[in-house]
Amino acid sequence: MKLETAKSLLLIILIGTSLILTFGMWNYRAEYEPLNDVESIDEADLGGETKDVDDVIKPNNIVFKMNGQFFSYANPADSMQLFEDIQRWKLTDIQNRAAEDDRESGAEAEIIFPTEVPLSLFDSILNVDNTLRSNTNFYVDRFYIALNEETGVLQVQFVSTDGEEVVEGTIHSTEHYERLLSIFNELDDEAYEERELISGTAKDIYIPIEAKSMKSFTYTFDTTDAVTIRNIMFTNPNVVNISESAPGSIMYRTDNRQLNISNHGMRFIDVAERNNEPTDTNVLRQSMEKINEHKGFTDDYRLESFTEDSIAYRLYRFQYPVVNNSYMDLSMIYQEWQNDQLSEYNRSLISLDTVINTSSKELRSGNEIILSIQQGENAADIDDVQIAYRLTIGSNENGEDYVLLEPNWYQRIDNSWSTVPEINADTQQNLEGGS
Amino acid sequence: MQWSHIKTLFILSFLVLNIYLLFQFISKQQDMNIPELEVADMNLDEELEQERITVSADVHFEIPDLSYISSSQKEFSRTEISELNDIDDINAVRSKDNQLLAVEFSSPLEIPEDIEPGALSELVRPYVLNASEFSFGTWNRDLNIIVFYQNKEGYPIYLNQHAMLTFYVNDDREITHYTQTMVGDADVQESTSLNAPMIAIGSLLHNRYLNSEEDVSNVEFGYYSRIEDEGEGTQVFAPTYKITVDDENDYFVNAAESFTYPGNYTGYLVKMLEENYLRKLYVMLAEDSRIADDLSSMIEDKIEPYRSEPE
Repeated sequence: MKLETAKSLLLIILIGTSLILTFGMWNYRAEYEPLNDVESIDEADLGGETKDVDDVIKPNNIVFKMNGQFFSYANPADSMQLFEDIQRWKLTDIQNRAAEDDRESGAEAEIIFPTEVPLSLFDSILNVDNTLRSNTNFYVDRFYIALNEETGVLQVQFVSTDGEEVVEGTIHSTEHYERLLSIFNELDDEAYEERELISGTAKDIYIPIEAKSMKSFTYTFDTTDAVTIRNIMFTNPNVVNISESAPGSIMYRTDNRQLNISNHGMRFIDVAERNNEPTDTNVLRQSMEKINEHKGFTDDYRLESFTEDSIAYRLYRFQYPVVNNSYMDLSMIYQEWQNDQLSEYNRSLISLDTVINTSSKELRSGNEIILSIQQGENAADIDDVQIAYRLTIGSNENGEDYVLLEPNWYQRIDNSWSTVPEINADTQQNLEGGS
Repeated sequence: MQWSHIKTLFILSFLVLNIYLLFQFISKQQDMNIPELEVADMNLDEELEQERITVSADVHFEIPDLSYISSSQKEFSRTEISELNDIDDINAVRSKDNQLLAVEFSSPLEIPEDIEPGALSELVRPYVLNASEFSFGTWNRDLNIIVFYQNKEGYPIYLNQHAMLTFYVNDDREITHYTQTMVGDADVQESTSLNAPMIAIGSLLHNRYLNSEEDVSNVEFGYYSRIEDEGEGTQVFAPTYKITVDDENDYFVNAAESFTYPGNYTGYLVKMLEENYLRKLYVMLAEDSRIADDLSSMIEDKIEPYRSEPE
């Protein structure tokens, strides 16, 4: 009997201790909770999409060349559709070849990108069976797909921008061959427009000959609030000093970082010096990783230019570039990197919402543009000529801000876009009389 | 089955459960009781030992409860200038923006040999506005300039052109001129947790500023700022460790976020004189200030060998 009482007692004690232990473990967790709060600040983001290299490197023109004539899709969305198809075409038999002086060929498509990129990047843009990595100094801003009528295959060619090297590949597919051939057979269809090569510019630029009419758009828009940006750019918001340098302009500072938010844009600098071990990741990957971290690709931003330590992305709308050119450039994301650290970050904080108004605008004809460029003194420095939307912010009678996108002809010189100047009156008359 | 058997079974199963729970509890306690900092510390000690780096400085002082502070530039008033001019032996002028004070000794002030920083402070005290706010910083032998730092909240603001008392010494160990800049009242920000000095030493090591067989000879505490943007006026100062290695090289390590900067005194002072003080003196020079004239040519001579090459 005594044994039984002892056993009951033991059982009660055991049940008791197991309860205490379970409870103890439960409480231990609670002490750790505040730390999680600090971490959650890092999770602030701009709500954009995560992008890959092939989302930000896209051509801004595809030109079909045949018998000395040039054509493009009249609607750039069709060009983009074709490019997306091309990205899936399997590229094989990749080989290096010395450049020839004359790259003469029959029918070919020229795919032109806004900036030079290392050839190796095309590994992730196109569907290649072998790596395109060759010489590290092999930069390209365009490639060619030629129809080889004898063999019925597509010949792909990358020519380095210095013109010294060529990398070739082949697309062995009757289906893809037929697809491209059918385009060349219907170039007089109204889906296409004729283009003209501008002579005397830094690169080959093809612009539509006919005058076009395009739409201007008025948008409502949202601006990311300052606190979200602060939480992204500063790891410890407690140490950040806030001041209002001018009405509507907020300045966040610490001893080494400064974030200015005004006019719907931001400018951030970080002067901290870090002695990181040098890594060989390039600035493009670093910058995309950083921007994806806070989901910063809030719109169709595409690679505009990059150097060893800086990179710029430009906003595109309806496949056309957007140009703003104000101090807080609302059409750009710009970053500078030093020692693998972000040292400067300027960007637009607006996201376009809904179209509230449209109007029509007549654009100058290609001939007028070519004349204007050849009249100007810096034709040889021009890298690109495009129709782009000028972005301006205005406010209506109710005091509500809106964004106006207005199409116009732009020329690109040294990575800066400006409107192609109007030709002066005399020549204008000559042009009208002559044509 | 009998009740006693059931009890025995229960006892056994609870015993097993308790042993399991006890193990879990103990391992959890061990995980959490050792904060990450100490883990880092332990590794750091080993790392330092491996590199044969010694720490002779006292690093176990209590971490002061400092916060980030912000402050804007002080402008010297007309009465302050006349106050200074009332003192015998010196003549004072201020820059056009009132932020820089330039003072000339009518008979140069001789510095005794082997002077202690404390005695030096006493020596200059009678000639300086708000002398009690400044403490000795460094005597830069390259330029032969003695620098005093302004103190805020009881700690010095290291190497900051907007909070500095600068004495220009000639080849005969005499102070002929001094300049002064100050920041105004400080706004103290929310407090934040600061790293222990050993963590700061660790970041020196990891940034490869601290190399093998070196000695951490001194650790001090103050404020430091990297952004000295002029136009905006307000500066933010971070609680910062000044760590001296081998009694010769100073490094500034942010105490909250561990950013690390080498204290390149000569480089900083030359840049400061060239891009800030000299420019202000030139403006005064245009208004026929003799003091500015003398001082600017003296500064030019001092920085001549260190000027950055024109590109």
